Amino acid sequence: MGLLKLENISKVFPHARGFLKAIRDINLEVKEGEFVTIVGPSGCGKSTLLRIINGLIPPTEGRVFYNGKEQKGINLDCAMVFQTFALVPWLTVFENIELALIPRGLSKEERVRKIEFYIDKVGLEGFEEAYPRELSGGMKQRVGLARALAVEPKILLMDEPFSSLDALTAINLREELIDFWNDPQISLKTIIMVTHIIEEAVELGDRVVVLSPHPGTILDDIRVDLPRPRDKMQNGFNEIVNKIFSIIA
Amino acid sequence: MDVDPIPATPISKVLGLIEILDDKGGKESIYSLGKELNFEFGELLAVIKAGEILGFVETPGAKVQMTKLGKKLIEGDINQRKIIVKEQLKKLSLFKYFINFLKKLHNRSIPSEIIMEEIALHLPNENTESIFKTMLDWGRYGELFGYNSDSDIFYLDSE
Repeated sequence: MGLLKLENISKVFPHARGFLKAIRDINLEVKEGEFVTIVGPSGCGKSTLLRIINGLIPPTEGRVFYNGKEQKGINLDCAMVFQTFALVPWLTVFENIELALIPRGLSKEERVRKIEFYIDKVGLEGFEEAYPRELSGGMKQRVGLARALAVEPKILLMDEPFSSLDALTAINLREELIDFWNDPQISLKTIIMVTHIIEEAVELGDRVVVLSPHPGTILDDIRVDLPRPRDKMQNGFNEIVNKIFSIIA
Repeated sequence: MDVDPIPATPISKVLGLIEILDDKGGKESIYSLGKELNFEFGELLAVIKAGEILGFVETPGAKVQMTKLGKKLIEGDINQRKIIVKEQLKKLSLFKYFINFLKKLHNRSIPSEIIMEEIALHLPNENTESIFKTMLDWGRYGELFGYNSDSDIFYLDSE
């Protein structure tokens, strides 16, 4: 069994005209060390799926297994990076990262050591005392990333992390994300990222899971064997993008 | 001392420009880049100009081309990139001016208001706030300048 297994996951939300089925019968297994991207159009339940994996919301049906055991409630081995950064505006960069570590019961010294390490890793040295309002979008998302990495998660969940950024900033951060993933000093090995951008899913993922809209069901699970770093000019890149596009369309 | 302005663009965009040029074999037409990135032309020109004054790109004709230093930047890890950016910042007149200015002060620090006044004095045709914000973004990335908004103090981080 992989690190994470989703078994017949469905989620129904109450709606003004009855019920809304966000996702249906999702079966997915993720192995340790995999970078899985989940792609689908708006409203396919991608973000709902991430929140079920994290344990922030329970599935209506089905079960989540983590490390072979059924997971109920919040999985503390997961950390999330959000599209809108989710930074606390009245806290500095340092304090925003520390916020994620306080509930873990670490001593102040241990917290400072970890924060300094991840600030250095994501290139935020020099920005420690800046408030979110003083940062560009790219720097804000680096804080979101440092905060998630600082809890040293077994699985990093990323909810459209580059969608709020302009194309140039997103290119830069995508490349750096792969560097973090390959960095032997960072314990992170498994990433699950949702996106609506097919090129992004192919550029980053070992596998691209393709979801249908309303409700989200898995249409395909495509392995991407292209060498990294990947880009659109690479042989085979556009073929995979076109294949996914035709599946969704 | 003559002080030249800098384009109002965050350093992350400049790094992104070098990444995309690297993906494209080192050079690309400015117009094609604009279309591909969906950038407003003026905004893209500001990013390219920023890359040029930092020594990471050149702009022969309507092309934008990565320099050797740009290649070195993109091949380095995050901390190597920051060191390269810092060295390039130290060559820009705006940064040179404020490094010297801050070095002469006690604690190498001063309220940001004074920095703004200095910017307005030397660059009267520019948007002071925008120059300050950009100088701080680049300066923080290069670990050259720091700013504490609680105390409103702008300071020389390291040289």
